[in-house]
Amino acid sequence: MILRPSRGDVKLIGWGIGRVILGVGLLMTVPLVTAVLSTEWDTVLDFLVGILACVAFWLVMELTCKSERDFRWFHGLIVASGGWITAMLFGAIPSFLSGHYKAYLDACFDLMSGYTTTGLFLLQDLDHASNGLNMWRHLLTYAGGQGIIVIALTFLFAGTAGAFKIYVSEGKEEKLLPNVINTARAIWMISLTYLVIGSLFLWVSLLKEGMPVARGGLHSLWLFMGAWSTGGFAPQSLNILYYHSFWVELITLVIFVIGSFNFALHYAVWTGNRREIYRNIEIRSFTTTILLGTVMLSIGFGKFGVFGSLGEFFRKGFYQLASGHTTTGNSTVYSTSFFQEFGFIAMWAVILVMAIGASACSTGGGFKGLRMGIVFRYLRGEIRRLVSPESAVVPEKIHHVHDIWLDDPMVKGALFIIICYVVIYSLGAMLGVIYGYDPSVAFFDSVSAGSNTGLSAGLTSPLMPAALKVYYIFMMWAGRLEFMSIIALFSFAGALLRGKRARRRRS
Amino acid sequence: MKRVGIIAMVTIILVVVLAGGSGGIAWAAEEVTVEELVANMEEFDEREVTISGEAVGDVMLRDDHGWVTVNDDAYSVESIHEGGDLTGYSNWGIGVWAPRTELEGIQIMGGYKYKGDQVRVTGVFHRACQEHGGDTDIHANRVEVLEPGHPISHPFAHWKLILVLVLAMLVMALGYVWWKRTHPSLPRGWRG
Amino acid sequence: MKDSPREKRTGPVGSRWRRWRSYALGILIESAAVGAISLAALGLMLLIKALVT
Repeated sequence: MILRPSRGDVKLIGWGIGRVILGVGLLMTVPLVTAVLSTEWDTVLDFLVGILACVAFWLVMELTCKSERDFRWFHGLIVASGGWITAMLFGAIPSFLSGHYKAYLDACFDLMSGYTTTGLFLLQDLDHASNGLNMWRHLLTYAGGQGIIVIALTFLFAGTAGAFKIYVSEGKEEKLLPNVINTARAIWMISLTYLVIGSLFLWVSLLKEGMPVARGGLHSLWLFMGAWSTGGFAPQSLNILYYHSFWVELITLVIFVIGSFNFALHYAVWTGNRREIYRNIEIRSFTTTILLGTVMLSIGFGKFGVFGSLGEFFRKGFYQLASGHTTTGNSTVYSTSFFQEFGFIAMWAVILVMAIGASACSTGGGFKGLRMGIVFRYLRGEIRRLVSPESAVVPEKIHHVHDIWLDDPMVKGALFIIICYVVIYSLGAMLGVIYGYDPSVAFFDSVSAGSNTGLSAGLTSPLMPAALKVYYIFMMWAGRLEFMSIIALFSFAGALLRGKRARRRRS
Repeated sequence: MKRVGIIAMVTIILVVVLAGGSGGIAWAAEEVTVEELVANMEEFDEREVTISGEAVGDVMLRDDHGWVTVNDDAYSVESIHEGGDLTGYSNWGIGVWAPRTELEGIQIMGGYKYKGDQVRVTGVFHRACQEHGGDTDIHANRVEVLEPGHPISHPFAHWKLILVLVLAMLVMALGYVWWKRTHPSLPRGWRG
Repeated sequence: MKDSPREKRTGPVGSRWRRWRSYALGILIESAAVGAISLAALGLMLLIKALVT
């Protein structure tokens, strides 16, 4: 892709980003209403500032960048990647105004963490946060999980062909239905249905466990949003440990595992293709790797000896393992416990499943089950090829709603993205080690950020070095967008500079 | 020599009796912080400890016992909304499992609008509580309210209101221009 | 996604009811899948625990 971006290209992208920011401003009305209903007037002002800033930006873009041209592929890519960064900067306004952040960078970190459904956070004194702020944090993960871009598609781009290009570059290649607008609406329908059912179940169990009605209602909504989006935020500092409840743990586990499934799978199973639930390559991959992880974790727990009973193995071991594998990040242990109570083997079991991650076209991160399936089948095919006589051709296929034959470009593509993830995980770990953190802890938090998980072994904190904060923001962003749109953004920026330089030389 | 021997014998007997009597070496309840407990779980496991801090969130009553989360960080002394400084972490707190009768004294829970009751909790710390699925917790036998909580005032931030008004004016100005541009309603003669 | 060959309920309400019933079944199936994975994990943990400890 040789880019010589023109003014028209930049304008088109600016206009697209303006619309995304309008979406962010509209999203802010929900915490605004929450703050009004909770009579949290200071918080109301925070969100008014945020909304007005977003609307102002959108208007400026509409006035300066309005274009009749149509979106091409790379416009979509740049709007997706650039839009996330811009949405982070604007979304951080009400968060920063709340006073819970040491620096604007910290607020940006939390915003990127929310949008990418990571769940790491630098917010301080969460236990004294307002309902408005908590609504914002949790809503971010719910909306981010759907993809800011899908929101834009649903409401703002109705009818534009550019819509599809933005959608695909956002990291979701699934085409559930021919019309991408309908795809976005189908995604919302599935999410909203689960929202109602999941929140209800949580609310009932919270009431049974002794929480008051109103707070229980808010918490059930927030916990649902955090779990379904595989974000992992919770309204109290102790995360799920706060509730000391097997039922809350079980329900959130079911929610976040289902939430980590591919949307195409939901749609297939919901509309009659029931067998997909066990034929799908990602379900098979996930089941295989989580059970392997369970074996590794159980060996670790058994040897280390802190957790003894089967109940503890499940509630402390499997819960964290599943939370890691689905890249959720809800936890029932203190951060330092990964290092001090889990032991090396169990801790690394969690790191490995985090790295592998959840399903493609879902809210999860990591390599993705689809790629694991592709690579595994590819390896199996290679081994067979080595073993079989020269004449035998052994093609491999995978089942993902449809049967798909493996070809070299597909395998290469999968391997390339996996390598990209491994590179960012490792760079993050190395940076952590350079700053003096224990290697296992450095790997743990780096993989957590790059796979958008959100579990922490204690490295992530407001006191972490600024360079690490910036790198983690980059990792969360790049990991969520699966690199393609990031690469496009950088080459676009590079081409802009190169283009300008060329013009100067000529004159 | 004989005296030393007698003293040694008596000491050993006392230790054995105490150890045997309480089913283990009983330490006096140590005053600790949650941060210390979490950093040294192995050392404090199954030991009686005392912590003091703010009751936050909810008291969750379950049959004849209940849970309360007690934070003893800098924010439990002065939360951000009371003007406290940002100290570099979210919160340090722990779940306390206590008999219902001990929890009934806690009236105000800490959050955005309230500073919670300051409590002192004495109980046994568990690194991985067998009764509660491996939770790190304290089983308290004593919860005393040291200081009742109070509402936190959120004084009106005038500068924020001014910012809102300025932005609102900006938005209205931009909006007017945008509206005129997208809805040209005046006859041709008037334009340009 | 194709309509079943069984007798159709009359009007849009009938098909809407069938659609939502299908969704409900989908939710049950997905939840059951999670349950199955969890049970398998529990079984493995029991086994490993017995072997290692």
